[in-house]
Amino acid sequence: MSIIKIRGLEKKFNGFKAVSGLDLDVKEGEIYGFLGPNGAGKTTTIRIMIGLMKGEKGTIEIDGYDVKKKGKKVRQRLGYLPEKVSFYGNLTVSENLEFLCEVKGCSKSEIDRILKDFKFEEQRSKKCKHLSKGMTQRLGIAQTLIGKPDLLILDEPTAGLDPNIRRWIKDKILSLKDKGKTIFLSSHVLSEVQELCDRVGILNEGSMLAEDDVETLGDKLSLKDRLELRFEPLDKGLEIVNNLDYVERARVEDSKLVLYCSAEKKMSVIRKFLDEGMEITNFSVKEPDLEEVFVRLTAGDGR
Amino acid sequence: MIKIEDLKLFYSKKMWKRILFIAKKEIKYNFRNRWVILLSLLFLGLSVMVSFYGTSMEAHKDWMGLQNTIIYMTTYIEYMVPILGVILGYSTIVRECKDGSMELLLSYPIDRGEVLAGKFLGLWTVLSISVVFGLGMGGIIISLMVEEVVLAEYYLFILSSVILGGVYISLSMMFSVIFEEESSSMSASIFVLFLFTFIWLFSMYAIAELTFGWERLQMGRPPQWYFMLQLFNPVMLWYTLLALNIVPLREWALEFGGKEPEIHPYDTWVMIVLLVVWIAVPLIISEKIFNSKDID
Repeated sequence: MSIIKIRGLEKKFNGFKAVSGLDLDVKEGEIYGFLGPNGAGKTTTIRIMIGLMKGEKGTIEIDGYDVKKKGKKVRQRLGYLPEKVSFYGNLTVSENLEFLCEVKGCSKSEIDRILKDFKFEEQRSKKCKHLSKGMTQRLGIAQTLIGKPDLLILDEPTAGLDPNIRRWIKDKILSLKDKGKTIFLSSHVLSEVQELCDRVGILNEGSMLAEDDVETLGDKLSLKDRLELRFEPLDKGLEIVNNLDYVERARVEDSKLVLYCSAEKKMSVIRKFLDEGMEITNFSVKEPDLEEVFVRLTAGDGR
Repeated sequence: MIKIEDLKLFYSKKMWKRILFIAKKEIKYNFRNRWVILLSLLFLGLSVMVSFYGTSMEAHKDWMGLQNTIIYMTTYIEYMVPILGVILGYSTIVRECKDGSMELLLSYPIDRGEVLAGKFLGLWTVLSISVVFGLGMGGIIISLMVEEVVLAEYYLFILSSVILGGVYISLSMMFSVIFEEESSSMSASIFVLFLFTFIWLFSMYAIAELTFGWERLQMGRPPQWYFMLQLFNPVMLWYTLLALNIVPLREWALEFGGKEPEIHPYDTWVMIVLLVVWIAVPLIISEKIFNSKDID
């Protein structure tokens, strides 16, 4: 069953179509990755879902409720982490959570549970203006769990954070999925989406380009393996691969040659190099990933 | 047309609870603002100083009593209470929209109208506590020092000042909803503050000069429309409300403003109702604008 159902959503800003005829379905219990380059319309779509913005056309249903007509009921059923989360700086961590708890009509006993779960017990009396960015983001995720919602909407949850906190947040997201939560995750960090999400939707210029699980998307687009070769001289190698019609998108990157070709042709590429007398010092092969899907869909085939 | 569902919503217990939670948060938040505390202390200091020293012009050096204190205090309160109202209201929405806390709050099950109502209620409470504490403590000190004490008039003075403060909170909150930048909201609020004090006064003099003549104004006999025009200024409403009810102020106003007009539409309740309208209209406009606004 779809917990989020969007049909024909449209939104314009000064004549510019930020979201254009968007259809989207998120199933209960899955982590759905909402991908797209900056300005693709991800945050706008999320804000319309929450009721912070008004869509001009189309419908959004969350948990069976129309967002336009039953906004409050919808917001009662979800937890939201904004892209730029901010709390009341002059209030402490627990005062902020207590206030949000009151607004949602939840028992204050939840605060202790959340503070413990997110390791905020020592900082509970600290004013929010004194929290670091990582801590604020952690508190942002913590507040999404107020009222034990089944659906969490997280907009760029790891943006601008250091690797340790990013890892912690990713683990937390996976543990929330294990607890049966549906997570709608907006991000442009491809590796993160690939690691966490069951399905992805790729948005560009306000329209959905593709929606499926990563592997199926790769198959559909007949994606190529990525080969990285290290040898000398690079210019000559580039000239060789440019003449091979089964090689796609060859380029020099960090003193190595990066190229894409089908799995069965990769040995032919290496053989060709050896035949030309090139001395390969190192090479690696990477199977198609989300980056490939993303690049293919958002920027054409990029040859 | 009002629907039954709208009425149900109006009486919804949950709605009032949410409004009160927002108000409570605003009170807590603003009492941690040093400017608010400083202004409360200033009200206290000013009422005591004014009572003892009078105005600088008269170089009074004895306790004046509450009635005379009110006369001198009106000049200060006319500016200070609106300033406090503006300080509290000008950034309350625009700042939260900018820093992202409004986005978070509105992702919770709460209406924008409830947010505005809660904020107004909270900020008005902060202003009321500040004014009542400052002027009230001052009043107690003065009462202990003088023999003749008419507390009812002093209570009215405090209460009317609180209502005037509500008008400025409501107006500056409206600018906070309209504008995208704190600086624009502050500029508009300050402009309105000046409009209803300096600019209004001189504009009214100019209108008098250009229409019925300066002499008639000095005689205290301008045409009725001139009185009606004054009702569009909340500071004038407040001042008239005081003049209608506080005898020495009325006498003082007559002494400096000419003879008592025979025909005027002024009445205590009309003044109170109009001040409440001055609070309600900007709030209603704010609600309409805020509801149609995209939060980004």
